[in-house]
Amino acid sequence: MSSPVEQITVVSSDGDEFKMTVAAAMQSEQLKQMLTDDSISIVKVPVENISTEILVKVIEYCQKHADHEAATKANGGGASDSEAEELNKWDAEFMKVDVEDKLFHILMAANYLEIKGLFDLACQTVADLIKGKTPKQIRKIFNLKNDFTPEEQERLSRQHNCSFD
Amino acid sequence: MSNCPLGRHIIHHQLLIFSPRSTCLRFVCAFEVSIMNMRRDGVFPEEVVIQILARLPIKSLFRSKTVCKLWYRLPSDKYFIQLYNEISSENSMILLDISDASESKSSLICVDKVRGGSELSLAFLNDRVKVRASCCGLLCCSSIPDKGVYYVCNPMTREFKLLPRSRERPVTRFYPDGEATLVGLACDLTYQKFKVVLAGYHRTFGHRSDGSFICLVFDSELNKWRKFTSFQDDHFSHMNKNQVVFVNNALHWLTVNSAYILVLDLSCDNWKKMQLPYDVIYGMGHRIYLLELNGCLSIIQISESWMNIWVLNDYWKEEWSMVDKVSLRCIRGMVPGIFPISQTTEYILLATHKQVLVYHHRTRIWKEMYSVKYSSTLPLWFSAHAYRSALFTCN
Repeated sequence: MSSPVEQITVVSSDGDEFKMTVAAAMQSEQLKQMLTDDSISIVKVPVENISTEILVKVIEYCQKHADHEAATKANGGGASDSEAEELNKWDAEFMKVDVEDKLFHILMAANYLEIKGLFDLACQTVADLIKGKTPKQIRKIFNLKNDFTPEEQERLSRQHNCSFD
Repeated sequence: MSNCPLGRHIIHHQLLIFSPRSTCLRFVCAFEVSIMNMRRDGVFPEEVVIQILARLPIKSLFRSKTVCKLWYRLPSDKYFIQLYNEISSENSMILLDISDASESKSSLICVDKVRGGSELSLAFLNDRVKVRASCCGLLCCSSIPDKGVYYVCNPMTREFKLLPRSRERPVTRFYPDGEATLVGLACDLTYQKFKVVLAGYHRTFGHRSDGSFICLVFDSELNKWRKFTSFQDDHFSHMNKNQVVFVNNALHWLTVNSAYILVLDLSCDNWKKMQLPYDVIYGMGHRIYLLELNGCLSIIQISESWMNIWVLNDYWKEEWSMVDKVSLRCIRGMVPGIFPISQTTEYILLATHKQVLVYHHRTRIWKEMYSVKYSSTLPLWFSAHAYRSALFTCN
C-alpha cells in the first residue's frame, strides 16, 4: 500500500455515503479481504443490498467491536471483567430492534459482509424469536409456503402425531 | 454472495466457521446458491435458514419440521447434523438426577449457562432408571428394578436403544448395589455409533476381589457384547465414576488416590495407566477432578482459595499446561462443597449440595443457575453428569 489508509467509505443502496475506520471495516471479512489486497485501491465500496438504515446499524456494531478489541490489546490481551460483561450487554441491547424486518436485514447484511460476530448474534436472535412459535406463525414470519400436499400432511400427522398449524 | 438481478448463474458461497476444536478457520461446506433460491421464496436463502435452525433447541427444531419440506429434511441431513452438533458443543450443560427413591419415575434436570434448570423426562423409556454415563448427547442408563438391563438414549430426541442382555453373568455379583463398578459411554458423533463399557470385579460372596477385572464392551455397529479380562485393583469414588471422559478413542477415569488416570483404549481393548505430573496432583490443590475441555483431558484442582484448570495439550507426550487460575474468594463459604462438572473454554459449571453455579472466564463472574428448594437426601453433585444436546441417533 502506498499510503496508510485510515478510513474507507461505504455507500448504501440508497446512495448515502458513510465513513468507516479501517479497524471497524476489518470486522467484515469481505471488507478485510479488499483492504488487505494490495492490487485494489479502495475509494468507495458500494454495498448494493444494504439500505442506509441497516448500514448505520452494521457500522455501529463494527465500530463498537473494533473499539473493544483495541482496548483489549491495550490492556495486554485481557479485557477487564466489566468491559467484557458490558460488551455482552451492549450486544443484547443492540439486537433489540423494533421491527422484525430490521432484524432480518441486519442478519442478511452480516451474512453478505461476513461479519461473524454479528451473524452469529443475529442468527441466535432469530432462533430465539421462532422458538415457541407454531409452524403457521413461523411460515408467516419467514414468508414460506407450506409445500406439503394434503395427503402428505394427513399421513405425517397420523404417523408422527405432529401438527402443521 | 452478491445479489445479481440479471441473468441466472450459480454462485458459490462458502461459510467460514470457527471450529471450537481448532484454532484456524475451517471451511465447513461450500454451498451452491442458485439465483432461483433468492427469488423471495422465503425471507432467507437456504444456508441462512440452516444457520438459524442450527441454533434452535432440539424440541423446537423437531416441532418446526412441519413448516415446509426443506425444514422437514434438515434434522436428517448429514451436513446439518454436523453443524448442529458443533454449535451445541459450545453449550456444555449439567444433568442432575433429583428423583426421590420413593418416586415411580426419574426426574432429571438439565442446567445450562443461560436458562438455568429445565426438566427433562426419561418417561419414554418406560422404566425407572439411573443415569450411569453421558457422552456427546447420549446417556447410558441402567434399569433400577431390572438388574443388568441397560439403555442408551438421547433424552432430547427421545430415541433409545435397549441393549441386548450380555450372556455373561453380571459383572459384580454381590456388590452392594448390584451394579458394575465402572460404566463408560464412548460416542462417535461423526459416524453416529457408540460403545458401552461395563467393568468390575468378580467377587464371590464373603470374599475380597481376586483382582481380576472383567470388562464387557457393547459395540453398536455389531450390536454385540464382547468380554475381556485384565488384572488390577483400583478404587473409585462415586465422583470418579461419574467423571469418565472419552477422548482419543479411549475412556478415562481418575482413580481415588488420584495418582494416575486409568485408561481403556477401545481400539485395542487395553487398560493403561496415565501418570499425572507432580504439579497436577500436588500443586496447590487438595482435591482434583477429571473433565473434558474441547476434546482434551482436563483436570481441575480445588484448594481453599484457588481453582486451577489444567489441560492435556499433547495427549501422546502427556504434556499438561495450566490454562487458568481462578480465585475462589467470591464463593469462599462454598468451597469445601463445590465440584466442577462440565466446562467449555468460556465457562465452568459446578455443583454443590443444593446449587449449580456457573463461572465465566472472561468476565470472572459467578452466577447461580439452579437451586433445589426442598432439602434432598442426596447432594446435587452426587448424580451430576456433564451433558450436551446433540442430534445423535442411537438406533
